[in-house]
Amino acid sequence: MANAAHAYDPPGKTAAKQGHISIRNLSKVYDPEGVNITAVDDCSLEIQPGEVCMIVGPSGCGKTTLLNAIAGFHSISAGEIFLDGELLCGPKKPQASQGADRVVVFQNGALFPWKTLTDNVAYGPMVQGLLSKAQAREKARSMLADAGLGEVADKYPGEVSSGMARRAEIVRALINGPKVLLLDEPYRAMDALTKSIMHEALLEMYDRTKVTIFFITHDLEESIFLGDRVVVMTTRPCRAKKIVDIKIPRPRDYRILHSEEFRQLVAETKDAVHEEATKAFEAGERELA
Amino acid sequence: MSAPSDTSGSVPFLGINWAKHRKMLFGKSTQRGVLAMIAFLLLWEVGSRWYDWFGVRVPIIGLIPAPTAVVESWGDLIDSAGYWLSWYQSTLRVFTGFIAAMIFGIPFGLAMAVNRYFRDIFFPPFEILRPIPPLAWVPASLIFWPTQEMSIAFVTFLGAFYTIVINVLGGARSIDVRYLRAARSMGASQWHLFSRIILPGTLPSIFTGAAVGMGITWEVVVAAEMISGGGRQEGGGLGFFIWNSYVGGSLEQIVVGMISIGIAGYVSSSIIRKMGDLFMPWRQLF
Amino acid sequence: MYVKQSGTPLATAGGPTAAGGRGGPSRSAILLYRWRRALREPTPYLMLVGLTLWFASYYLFTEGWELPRFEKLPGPVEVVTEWFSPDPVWGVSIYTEEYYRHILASCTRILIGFCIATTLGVSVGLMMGWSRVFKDYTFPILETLRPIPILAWVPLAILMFSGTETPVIFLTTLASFYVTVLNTLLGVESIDKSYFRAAACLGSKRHHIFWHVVVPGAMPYIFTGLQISMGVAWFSLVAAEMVSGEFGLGYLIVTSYVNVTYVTIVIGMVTLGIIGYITSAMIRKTGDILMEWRVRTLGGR
Repeated sequence: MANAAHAYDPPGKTAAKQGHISIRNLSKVYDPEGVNITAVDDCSLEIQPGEVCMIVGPSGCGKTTLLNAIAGFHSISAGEIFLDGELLCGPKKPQASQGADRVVVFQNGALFPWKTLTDNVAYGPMVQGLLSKAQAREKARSMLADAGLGEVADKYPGEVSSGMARRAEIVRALINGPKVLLLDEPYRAMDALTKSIMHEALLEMYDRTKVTIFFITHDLEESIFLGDRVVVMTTRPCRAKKIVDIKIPRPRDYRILHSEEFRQLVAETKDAVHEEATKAFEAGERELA
Repeated sequence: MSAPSDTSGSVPFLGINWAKHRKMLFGKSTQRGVLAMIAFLLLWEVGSRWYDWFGVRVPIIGLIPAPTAVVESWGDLIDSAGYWLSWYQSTLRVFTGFIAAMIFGIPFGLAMAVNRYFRDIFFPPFEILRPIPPLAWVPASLIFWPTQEMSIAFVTFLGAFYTIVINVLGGARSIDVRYLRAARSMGASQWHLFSRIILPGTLPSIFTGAAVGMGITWEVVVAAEMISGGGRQEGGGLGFFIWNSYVGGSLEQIVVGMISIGIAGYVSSSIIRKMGDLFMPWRQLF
Repeated sequence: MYVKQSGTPLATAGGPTAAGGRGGPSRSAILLYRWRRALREPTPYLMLVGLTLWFASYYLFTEGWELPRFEKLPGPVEVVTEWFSPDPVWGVSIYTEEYYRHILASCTRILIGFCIATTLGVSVGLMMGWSRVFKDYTFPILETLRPIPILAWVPLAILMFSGTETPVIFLTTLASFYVTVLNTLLGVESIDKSYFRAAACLGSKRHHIFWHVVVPGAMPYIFTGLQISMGVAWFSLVAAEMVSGEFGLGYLIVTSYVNVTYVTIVIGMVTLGIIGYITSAMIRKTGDILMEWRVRTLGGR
């Protein structure tokens, strides 16, 4: 993890040959109390380094299972996942190890409530032994200031708004210079206005670090606005149904939301998403998450 | 293809999920628990018998009767009427005090939760008296009440009363105000609000308070029986039984008494929990 | 865009403003406003009414009207005169040395018992929450012993421990221990799984997770448990002192009863109430200090 200190170098310096995720024939079968549930069935996906890959699908279809498999929170039943050519999990190793090369930002926010924002962000480098406590704190403070949170850096997560907390959580992830940033519907519980600001903040951080992003959402517009590729997933069991390339150039801002190109992309993807959503609704899916 | 995770895929037979129950009964957790219990009993047995075998007193454990001796004594006691009479008396005291506490406590708690003025008037004296341990009331109770039975009942009542009221109050006040608003917007009357929302919404807290209160009631009954002598010579309740055994030097009976009360307390709490499940079917789904 | 150009970061939009920081009302002005508004509500007056009613009935029942049965109890006037008299009739008042000896005896026992119980209880509770294996071995034994009421241990305690102090402290410790262990365990088990996962994916080792997630995460429950534990400790202490002890408030109450010096009973009870309340408040305050993050949530607790 030597690139932690370089996490904020200008783009291009950190060789973007990192963060190549290769998911091959992944299957996951849950067995709560003797009844089999197939969450993911023979799913394959290639994510290029530095790509923003958006995963869209109805609730409970198994997208979070994919994320959990990559992050190492769950084991897999069949198939393999590779990261930069190295095996994360596979037949002989059903559960990936958890580590700071694939950091997760959680749906309901998982900033430690008992630490200030600074201490939260400084946590990663500190426990990995890369920086001393003072050094980590200083770096955390500067990164928080860059993200517009300089004034509230010494407050507790319970004292700041959810928008600020979520941004801080992303900073907490990025300070570790991860290869992949995994986001599990992070803006789900936010109002549209805060969401749009969050999007722009994320894009700005992405432009700086060019980290591979694996972003789960059920908001189609969000996925087209943020992503390089949008993968539409089928309802349970989860499989890649349709993949759409987003060719809109970066850096992006909210003005592209009105552009013809954007509307075309929405039209292209909407049918697929709507079809799966109807199927899920009829099946009466309960939230697996 | 890799080795799949547990795919027992057992179809429920007779509507019962055998896989789940089998795992619970014979799983690793139960094995360890059983092992621990056996180790505990062994340690106890060896420690208390050490003197008989080797003539050396083990500290603490060596001074209490051995499990085997206790079981033997228990076998004898099962035939004696006095033992079962003690059971009966303690249980009677517990239930009278407990039910009295529920009868007074639940309405009192609900009234305080629902009516602000009631709470403002009655909460301060309640809170001021609460830190005084119920047992501290025993002498005052003995002075006041004409019979010993009534004084014990009063102290028992006090013990459970505080707990129940606090739980009811907390539970009623934590009901999401949106439920009330939703009901009101659909035209519910004050009585409806109370009987259909506040009352069922408080039920979980009532049962929690009851379960905890039950535990406290047993504590207080045993304590009161020990302190006040239990009333009559024979069968003055299980607390008195323990004290009497100590005074009379039959040490094994002490342990028998202790375990008996433990069982009684556990059974009563289980009954309350089962009743809770009965009254609140919606909770079992989670 | 919005972040680095302007000097003021986005944080000021919608961030919490410190009172008095930017020309708003000062802290004391807000306090005064709150007081004035509170005085306009019926609440404080009703509270006064409640207390007066209670006190008045206590007085009238025991001394004023001397109702049957109530007349035997010492009334408030009698108690107060005795309590604060420099030369008490029955030997116990705030001026006598004996009074403080009893208080000290009880408080010392509580302190020892509570400290031991907290140390053991929190450690065991944390271990049980942390390690499934440990819990499997210890939980059954704990749950089997727990239904046995504390007082039922008195004879056994007397047998096991020599002296008069140790059994009493043992009982107090046992009672507090049960409560502390259970609440700590509950605290650990109630920590949101996401925190564990977040810590893991940030590169923590096991001991990091223990000290940075488990311990702080369980703290709120631990402190709730400590407050209950303190109450239970007093309960058990008084009971134990009543049954077998020398000195102490429980002992005082029982001997006053036996010696028919009833006024001292009430003095003892009131003292117990006051000290019990103070000790609970001390725990609550400690909790507030240690868990600043809870106190400072948006909009207060």
